[in-house]
Amino acid sequence: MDPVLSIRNLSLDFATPEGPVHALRKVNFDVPRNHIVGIVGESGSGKSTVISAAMRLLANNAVIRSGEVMFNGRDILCLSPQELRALRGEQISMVFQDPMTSQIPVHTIGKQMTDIQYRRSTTSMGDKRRLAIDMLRRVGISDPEERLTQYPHQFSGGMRQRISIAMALLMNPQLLIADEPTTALDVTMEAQIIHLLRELKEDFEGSILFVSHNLGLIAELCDYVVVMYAGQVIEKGSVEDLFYRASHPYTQALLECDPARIDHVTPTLPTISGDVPDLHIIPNGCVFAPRCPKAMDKCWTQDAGFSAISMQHTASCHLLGYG
Amino acid sequence: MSVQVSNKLTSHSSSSFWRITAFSRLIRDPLGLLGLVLVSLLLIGALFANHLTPYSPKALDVKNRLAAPSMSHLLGTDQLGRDTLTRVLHGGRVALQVAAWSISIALVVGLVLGMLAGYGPRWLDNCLLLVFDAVRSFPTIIFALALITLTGPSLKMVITVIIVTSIPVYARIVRTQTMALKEQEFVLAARSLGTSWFRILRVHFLPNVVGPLFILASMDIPVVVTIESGLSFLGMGVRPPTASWGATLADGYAYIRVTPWLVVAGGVPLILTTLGFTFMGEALRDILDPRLRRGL
Amino acid sequence: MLIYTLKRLGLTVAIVAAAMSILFLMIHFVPGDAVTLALGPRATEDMREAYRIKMGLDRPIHVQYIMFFANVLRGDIGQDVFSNQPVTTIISHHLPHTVVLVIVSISWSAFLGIFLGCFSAVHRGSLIDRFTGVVTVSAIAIPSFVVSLYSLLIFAVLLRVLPAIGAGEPGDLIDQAKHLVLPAFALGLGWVGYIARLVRASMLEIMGENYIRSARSYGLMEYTVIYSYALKIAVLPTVALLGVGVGNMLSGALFAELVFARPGIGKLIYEMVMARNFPVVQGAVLITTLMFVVSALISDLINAYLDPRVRSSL
Repeated sequence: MDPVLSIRNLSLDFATPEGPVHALRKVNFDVPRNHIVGIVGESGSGKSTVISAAMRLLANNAVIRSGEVMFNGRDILCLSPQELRALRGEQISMVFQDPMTSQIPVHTIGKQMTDIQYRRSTTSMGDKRRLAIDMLRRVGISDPEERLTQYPHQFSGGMRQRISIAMALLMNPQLLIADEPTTALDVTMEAQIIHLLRELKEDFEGSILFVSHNLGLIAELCDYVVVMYAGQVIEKGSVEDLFYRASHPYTQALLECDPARIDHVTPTLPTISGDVPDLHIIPNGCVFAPRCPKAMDKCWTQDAGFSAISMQHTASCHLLGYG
Repeated sequence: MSVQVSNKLTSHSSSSFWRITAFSRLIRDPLGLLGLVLVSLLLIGALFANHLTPYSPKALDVKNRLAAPSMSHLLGTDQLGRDTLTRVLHGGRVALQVAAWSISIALVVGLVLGMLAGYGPRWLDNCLLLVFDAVRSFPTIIFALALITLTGPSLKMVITVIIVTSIPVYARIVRTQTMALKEQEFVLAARSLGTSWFRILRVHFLPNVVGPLFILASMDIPVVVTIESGLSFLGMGVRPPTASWGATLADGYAYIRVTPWLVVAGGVPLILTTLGFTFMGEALRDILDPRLRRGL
Repeated sequence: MLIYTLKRLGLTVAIVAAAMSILFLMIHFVPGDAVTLALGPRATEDMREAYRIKMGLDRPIHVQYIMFFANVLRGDIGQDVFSNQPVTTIISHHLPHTVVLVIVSISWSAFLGIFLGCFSAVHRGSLIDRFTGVVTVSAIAIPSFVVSLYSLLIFAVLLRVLPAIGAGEPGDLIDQAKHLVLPAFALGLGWVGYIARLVRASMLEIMGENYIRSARSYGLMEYTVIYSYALKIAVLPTVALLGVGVGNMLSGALFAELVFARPGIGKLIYEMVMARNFPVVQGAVLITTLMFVVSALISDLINAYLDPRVRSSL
């Protein structure tokens, strides 16, 4: 079965007064149907940029250098504004990071949710409201009829994120993109939202593209994982592949640094030394070389390319053979 | 140590290098350049008013009254035969004098009151704010007229009214900056290290307040010139035979069905002056602090 | 909302009281004989004595201050020097014309301003946007009385398409409307500029907000996003601005009424100032200040009501 979303060789720059920032370089990954794919990486890895590109919600100074974003066989980057609008909300939807700024402050939740259904031209307003109420109930909002008449600021952060998810799923999209949806919430809320997403995915038979910097969440929710660093995909595979057989030194370091994995008392937390590179200048060799504990001479001068470790598991590292 | 405790508030240090760059950017903006040109024309016209025309603004020539523009009178003559161009140039002097005096005094008083309101006790701040709001609640021209009914018309009264109604505006800005400064933790840190208030004011406070005040003052010049012209138009400002654009406009209004030239001559310099300072002020605001660009 | 209203009301009362105090101070500390000021040079000695007693001029100044307030609250703001009519009567004859002028001016300038601002924001950077930018700055800069004079010159004197004098025949709405065109144009022009720039700036700021990005991600039509969502928020500060606009326009209305020989409170003030008829001037100052403060209060409250975040939390 063909993947619902397929990012192929996507390279993207941001134009700045100091010259172009090479934010994405040859990013390649698929989102299979009815599965959850997680993108993990630190700040500046490009994970938010790549999903903005998937919805074409990029900033004005973004320049696509090459590549395609294939959704159901059509390249999103080539669609007209009308075709794009037809796609958004109905086929692809997004949930954003900050729930407190995700809804229009001056309209009721009900109005916003019925507005989203404007394409259902044969549905009456009453039915649209009923659909909205059902969806709110599905995401765990109590008293949904009452809630429709309320304004966003009358809800807490956790509830607003649930509402965002409800709004995103209202038109039954095939792909839900979630950009760090729990980062702004406390831990109990976070657990509930993740649980909710899992349930909904079963109900709706869609795929989820889940972006996070939190490995624990990725492990809990996702079927497949894509690891990004400094604008590149450096490893991808199934969740078991990545957590039990992490092959790229960066992934291994990430796992080691995860506080959840620490099993003994230590005065200092493990970190990856060094800083994320400046994306104005892209080195010839591996982009992780400056921080890699296993770097060899080859790593500084030659790009590693992708090596297959198993059927779905690939990583970009000289240590894995052909480079 | 002060380097460690200072923050981005001090980014506007007034080095001459920075001033030169601002100036060069001003020239590159078409509207800013136009504004600069207009303002320069005004300044030259006002400064050299005595030398630019062969006439005196008070010289009567009643036989030639209400003449249309000609080679000998480039803008024609008014109802007493006085050369309009000369009167316009001298009117520019009045406008600039009023602007210079009123704005500078209002700035100084506003600075003091604003700092008092910001630093002083809460009750003082509330009192001052109430006074500011009360003064600002009088429609300006109407307030001026009420005062002038009591005292009689004169240019000094015009300047007084402008000062009184401008002080609250400047004081508020200073007050906001002062209160912002008060909140900054680094002030407490600096004080605990023994830094004098004077130094704090000079290094951290003044650079942040000078910019907005300067921009506000330059945007205020067209307003002040307008008020002076308006009051002179009503006969409540300059006393005849002193020349003022407003007085020329009043003359023009009285004779509007006879000749349009007086109205034109009185209005055009006023329009050019207000446009010039406004364009220049807007361009400066964009250059010095884009944050201030809230659309007004 | 109730608490907010009460607070604002309280503040408004305080400001009006402070303004009246300033007026009182002006009268008493400016050189000149208070009695002559109030009664005019032709008052008889009896009248002067009666006035002195009524206003308590022989009493200490703080008593006079209280009596000043007491009189105003009773509705007595003095009598016209020449006709002895109560000032309130005189003002109430002239006020309606000014109110009509100000309302018409604010209305057309708000409509056009909001439209221009929204259009400029949506077509940001285009030629129309930049052109509108220059035009709005110019409209704000040029004094409204100069616009009055020039429009009188061009349209009434030279082209003769619109009337130059007066408010039109009472009862003839079309005639009155024709007489309103030029003055309302002159008064409103500057405000079109202010409002257009404010709306443009607000819209641009809002269009960069996260919730607009969310709305787009739901695939909503662009006109829903702009007009139903963004503009609704952007217009809120304009409402508050209109309240301030009234105060500004009261001053400008004075010139418009003079230039176009329209009846109104502005023209009244001018004539009374020329005649040194201070009680009427004082009364007019009080009334116009009150109008300004009240309209600012009302627009503030409307603004607060329209924003659901303010409405339900305060």
